[in-house]
Amino acid sequence: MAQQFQEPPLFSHVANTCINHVVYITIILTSFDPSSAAEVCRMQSPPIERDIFNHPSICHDILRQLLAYSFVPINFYIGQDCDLIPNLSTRLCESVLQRSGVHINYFQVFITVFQTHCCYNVVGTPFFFQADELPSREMVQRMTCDGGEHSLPAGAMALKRFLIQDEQEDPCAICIKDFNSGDNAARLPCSHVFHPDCILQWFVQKSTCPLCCFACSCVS
Amino acid sequence: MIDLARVQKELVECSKDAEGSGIKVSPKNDNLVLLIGTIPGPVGTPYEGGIFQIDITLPDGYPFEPPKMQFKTKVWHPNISSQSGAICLDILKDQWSPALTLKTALLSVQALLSAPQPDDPQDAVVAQQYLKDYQTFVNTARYWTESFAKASSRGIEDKVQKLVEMGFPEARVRSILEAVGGDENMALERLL
Repeated sequence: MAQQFQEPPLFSHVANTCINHVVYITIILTSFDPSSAAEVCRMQSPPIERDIFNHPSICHDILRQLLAYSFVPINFYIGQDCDLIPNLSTRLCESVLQRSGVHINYFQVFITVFQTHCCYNVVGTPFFFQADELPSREMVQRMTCDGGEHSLPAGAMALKRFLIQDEQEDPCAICIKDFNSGDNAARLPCSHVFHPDCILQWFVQKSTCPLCCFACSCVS
Repeated sequence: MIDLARVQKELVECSKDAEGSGIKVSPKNDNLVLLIGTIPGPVGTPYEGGIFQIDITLPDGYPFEPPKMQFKTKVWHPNISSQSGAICLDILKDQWSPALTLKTALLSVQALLSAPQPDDPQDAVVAQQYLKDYQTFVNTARYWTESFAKASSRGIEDKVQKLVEMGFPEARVRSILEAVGGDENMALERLL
């Protein structure tokens, strides 16, 4: 079984700017072959068995945890319409297949986060980057050419996400389910509240409030 | 994939208020994709007293896509096809919102019966009649309600039979009954 991540990866790193930032995530995959046991002991962040790619839901959950610790805005990977995690998983799987002869694989995941979209790239490397050896921004920019791009629905930036503290009187008007304490919620500029999954799925078609037709795409 | 949990909640909500509003929704079979809606004809309109059945099909994208609705009961209305039952209503097309429900959609269809929009017709023949010969439109709509939307739709046939037994030709009886909106006494006056 795949190991569960208990703490954020040691070498995730954020280079922040006003407009965008680049997120580095280091993922270590290993087959736990006995001959690599000594190498595993020297790793500074927990390895992940490559077999997780046979279990997409486990893989996606691990990637989601990695992203949660890496300061990628949550609306880039939470929501039914977001395919960032499946895409990353696919890229990782492809990279793994290309290096199947090696017991230990290091993968650098670079995500450049802009206001309304992100670029991502998965690079397999033969050795482990130390923190001070991370690639320069220019190198990352060039690397992202081989990755992909993930765009948010137009109205997504208008959402204010929060956790429900007191139970609300009105349920989500889209799925008609009640909000409970601790649930994820999203408030539009017009103050109407929905589940993030629900409103993002609607925003794929039209960036208006389902209840009052407020146009959300022009708010930033 | 249809949000079946939401559809279940909608059906529960509709049944709670069925007595008051007269609006009902029920599944056709075990899946919740095909449903039958029922709306009463609004009071003060030619459709009063009628019970209209509407076929409802939920697309895979529901509730992010509108339900497909079509009159099963024949109805004479400018925005409803007298042949197919297709409905011209903005919230069933581009003005749909996932906060709308089957019940609110059916309420809007009922409101359409009260307030035809002949400038945006579904049935050009009916719209023309509505604009140029309103009284005939009202009589025809009432006749269609009597004929197709009432449980006692045999009522029309009984009236036809009675008048034919008086010696009047059946074809003329039917056309005059339609012209006077199914009123037997008025029909008799015109036949004499």
